[in-house]
Amino acid sequence: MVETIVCRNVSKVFRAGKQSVEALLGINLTITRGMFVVIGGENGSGKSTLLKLLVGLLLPDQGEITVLGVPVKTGWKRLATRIGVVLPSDRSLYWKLTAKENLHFHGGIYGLKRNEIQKRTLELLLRLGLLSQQDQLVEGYSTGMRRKLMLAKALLHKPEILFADEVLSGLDPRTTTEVLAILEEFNREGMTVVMVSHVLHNLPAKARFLLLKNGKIVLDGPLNKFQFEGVVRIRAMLGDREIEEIAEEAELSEVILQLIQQGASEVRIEKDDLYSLVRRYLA
Amino acid sequence: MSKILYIAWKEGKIQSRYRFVWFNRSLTPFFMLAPYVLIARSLSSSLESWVLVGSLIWYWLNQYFFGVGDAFSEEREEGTMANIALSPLSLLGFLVGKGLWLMVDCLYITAITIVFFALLGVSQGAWWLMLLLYLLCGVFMFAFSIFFAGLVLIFRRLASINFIIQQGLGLLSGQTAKIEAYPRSIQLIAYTIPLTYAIRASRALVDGNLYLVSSSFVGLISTTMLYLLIGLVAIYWAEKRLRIEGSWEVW
Repeated sequence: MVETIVCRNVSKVFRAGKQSVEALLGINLTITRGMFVVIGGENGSGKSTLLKLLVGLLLPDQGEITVLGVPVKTGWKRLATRIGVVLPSDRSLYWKLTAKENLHFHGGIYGLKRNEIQKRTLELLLRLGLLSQQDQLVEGYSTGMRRKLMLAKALLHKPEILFADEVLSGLDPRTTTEVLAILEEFNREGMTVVMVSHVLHNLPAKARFLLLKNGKIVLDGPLNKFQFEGVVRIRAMLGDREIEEIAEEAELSEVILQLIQQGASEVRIEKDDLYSLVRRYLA
Repeated sequence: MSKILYIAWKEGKIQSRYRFVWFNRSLTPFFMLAPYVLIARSLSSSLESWVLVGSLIWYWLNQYFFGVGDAFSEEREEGTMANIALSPLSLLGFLVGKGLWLMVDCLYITAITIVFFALLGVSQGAWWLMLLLYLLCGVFMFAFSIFFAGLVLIFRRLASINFIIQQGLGLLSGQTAKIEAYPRSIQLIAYTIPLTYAIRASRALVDGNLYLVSSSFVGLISTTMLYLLIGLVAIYWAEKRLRIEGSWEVW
């Protein structure tokens, strides 16, 4: 297993005047080559800060980060051509340029040869379903098209690792599935994918899930380890308080009976999923 | 080098989307400068050309202070600054790319303005020689604007007083006057500004005084180098601070 990303005791504090916010606290993390990592957590939990530290946009106050063997603190420029980054805002594209021109510009500043840019642009636009709109200005694109173009931009120089911050946000269910399928495809081809996301459905079964809370990793494991099949969530009102129980399907009737005996009303049975698991961890 | 050229290419592509801007650019300098030049003409014919070349050089500084000095603010407002920071291109390389595009832009503006004033009969020396000198002085105005860009990266609010800074520099450097007419203390300040030497060199070329042209260039080179050096240190320091604070998209 080749260690692609290593964080050792990484902390980051943001200071504004006399106030300070501890964004990340003593993060230890190792990501190996070819992993598909999804980082989840509430707003302000430190997800984007972690991603910015990994790509060198931010420097840690404490700790060491090594990406592809390069210490990020001093070697972020050397790392630039080896990683691809999708930033959360679609304003990171030039809206007054066409899709093709955006990619042409990006390839140019990443030092790609002209014919290589042309070849790769065509290849990616075709793969992402944007080929017929390649000469349209980005200002006329839908959110989904912009997200796909941002992805194409990040993949143009064939990075070894793709970092994507909220690439699925604001997408309709079909486009979400499409973008995830594309990410999985590149991951199968050997690219390491690190994705920050609030969208937690349809994720690849082999993905590793990291959950951040108040700047710390509170959950870390492969998605297929979290067992949702055969598990149900029971919600009910106990007096004026809403309660929640997780139970195996086989013991469902027994749990419901116990709840009713305790005086529970409005009993609802729901299928368990990653969202409710995250909610329980963050509660 | 090609990475830098792509910045200039991008600027050109975006500008080509705003066709009326080109029309505006071709006329604005003439209408801005004509009142000064025509008043000078009523006083003496040599003064009109002095005012014109002084104002044109100032206009190059004006374009560079807006284009290069505000380059970071512009990208921040667009939301594309973090992309530049993530790319293998240095911030200085990015500014050089912007500067290359501005050179094309300024040459276009200057050439048209020269034609307009020639039609009005304003004497301004051999046009090709003057254009060459403007281009050369433009390189120094670009280097001077890197100093301003570095300051803007550190003190974001400076961008909002960009125009007043340019006006102040124009006034101090003798854009429409001889600085010898200024009080001694103001003259001392004037000699610390590269624009002063660029204006003096251009006027000396119109007058055919090649000795003054070369001595002015000595002053231009030395003052510009000093500002450039401070600018480069400022950019380096500001970039490090941006990576600590994470304020790439704050303006």
